[in-house]
Amino acid sequence: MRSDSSPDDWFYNIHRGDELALELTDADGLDGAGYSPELSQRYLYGSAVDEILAVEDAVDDVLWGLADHEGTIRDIVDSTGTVQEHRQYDTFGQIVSPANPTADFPQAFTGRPLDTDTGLYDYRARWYDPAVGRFVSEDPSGFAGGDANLYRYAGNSPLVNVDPSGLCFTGIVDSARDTVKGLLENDLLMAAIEVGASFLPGVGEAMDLAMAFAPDSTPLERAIAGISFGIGVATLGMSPNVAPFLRATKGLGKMLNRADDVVDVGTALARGAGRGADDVATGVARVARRGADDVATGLARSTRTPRGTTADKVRRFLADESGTARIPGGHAPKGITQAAQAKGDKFLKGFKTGLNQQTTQIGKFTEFATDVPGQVPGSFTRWVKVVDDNGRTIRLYHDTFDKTGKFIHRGIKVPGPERHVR
Amino acid sequence: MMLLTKEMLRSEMKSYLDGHSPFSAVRRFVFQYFEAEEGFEVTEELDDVFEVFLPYLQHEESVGDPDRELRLRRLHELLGDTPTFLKERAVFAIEFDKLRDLAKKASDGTISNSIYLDQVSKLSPCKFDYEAVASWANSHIDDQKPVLAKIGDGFNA
Repeated sequence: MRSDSSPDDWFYNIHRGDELALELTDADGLDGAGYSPELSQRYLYGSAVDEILAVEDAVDDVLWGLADHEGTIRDIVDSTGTVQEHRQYDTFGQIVSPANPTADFPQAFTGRPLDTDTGLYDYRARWYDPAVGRFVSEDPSGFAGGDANLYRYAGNSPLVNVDPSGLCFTGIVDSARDTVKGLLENDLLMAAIEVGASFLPGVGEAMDLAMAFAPDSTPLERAIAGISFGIGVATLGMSPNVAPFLRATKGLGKMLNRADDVVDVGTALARGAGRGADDVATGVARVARRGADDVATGLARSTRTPRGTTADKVRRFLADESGTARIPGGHAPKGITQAAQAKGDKFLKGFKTGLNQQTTQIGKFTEFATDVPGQVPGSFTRWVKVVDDNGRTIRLYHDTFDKTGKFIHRGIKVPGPERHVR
Repeated sequence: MMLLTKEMLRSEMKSYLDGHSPFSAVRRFVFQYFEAEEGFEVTEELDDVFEVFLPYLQHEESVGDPDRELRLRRLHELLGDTPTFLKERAVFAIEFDKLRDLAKKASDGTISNSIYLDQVSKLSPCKFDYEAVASWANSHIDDQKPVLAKIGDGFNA
């Protein structure tokens, strides 16, 4: 819990394990009408340590973080694929560009959250100061951490080592080996190969290209492989690895009897690596248009984890966007309470011309929604109210869509203050 | 439980038209009922008006409308003198200019009568007596604003 520069605002952080899961804001703070925090941020993680995938704010805007091989967030894109922020770091994790990051995405170097007030990273057991490239306190595990210098970060090799616990560093190759070993023990051979290959310069990208041009690949798999490759190019920096990358693509290309195609495309893409973010953004946008399932599958592949883990989490997260599980709960459905139903009945009753009235239970929350036809034929406005078991309104807003179904405006009443989003 | 009436809506409109409150106050007056946090009820008259006015306000809020003051002035006037044909009056007030253009086109044969009526019926998503509205429009082809005497209480105009 903390307060910012405004003495009226209080923020509450809710963790799942050691991961920040939800942030709530109480605009009245301790001086207002009482304890009344509202959900303001929630976070989606992948299967790996510090693998932050997305952040959703109070008005359902989602930002996706594109990370490099160490989990460092390099690009932040919104749900349309537009790059909201491209971050550049120095070797020890200091953000050098933009000078004042504006995207509301706290995770940065190696996927750890940056406290913007202090400029320090939270590495669980210790705070890390990227300006000086060392921890601000001694390793609490002492020399057991494996370093004679108790303040040193990641053995002074931040490009190849990570220290998510703040207690002892590991090499990213070691991490890959451990991951591969774990996957093999679970008979996930293909996933193991993908993970292992992704840590070899160029080979992961070559495998993506191989997938893109394999005769038996589906269009979806080709699109996913293309995006995965784009992310690799943009975030890993392919230029030092172009030679091994080309050798790898050529070898795989021969195997597929498509060597010329693969090498030509690979060369063109490698040359275009400078465009980086735009390529990734375009790729993400393309897949986004294919719908939640495709995006989920794509992200699962691009994060190189077995299907059924990240894929399911992403699907659930994206399902939130479609209104089927808008608020994370972890509560099993247990029926709508009388208080919630009464609030919903009152809400829906007002809409004489409302269509598609829907009631969806989401854990201890219930969402009531109805579509009101708009002034222009084909356009409509969807009115939504989410209440908790006690009948208290958690969210209240209306979205207006034009006759093509394109979103054009949101009016938000709860959580306050009343505001508009276009 | 608070009862909202047509006169309360007119009072909000008047306040806006006289420059005493912003347009958003009118919008809020209507939206507060649909957001239903305070247990509002509406009269049957106001319910009829809302069926037409809510879609317009949604549209205005999302894309804007340079003529909103003019529309509101007409609506305020047409809702004032009678409890009948309120949906039709609301449509006529809000879409007066478009109705007059359609009526002219129907009158000079640019569009057929069936197309004319079809176009009129689409001026609001709610169910209303579009033939009555069309007949009112026919009598206003040369007028710059709605004339109460030509509207009466429906088909007799």
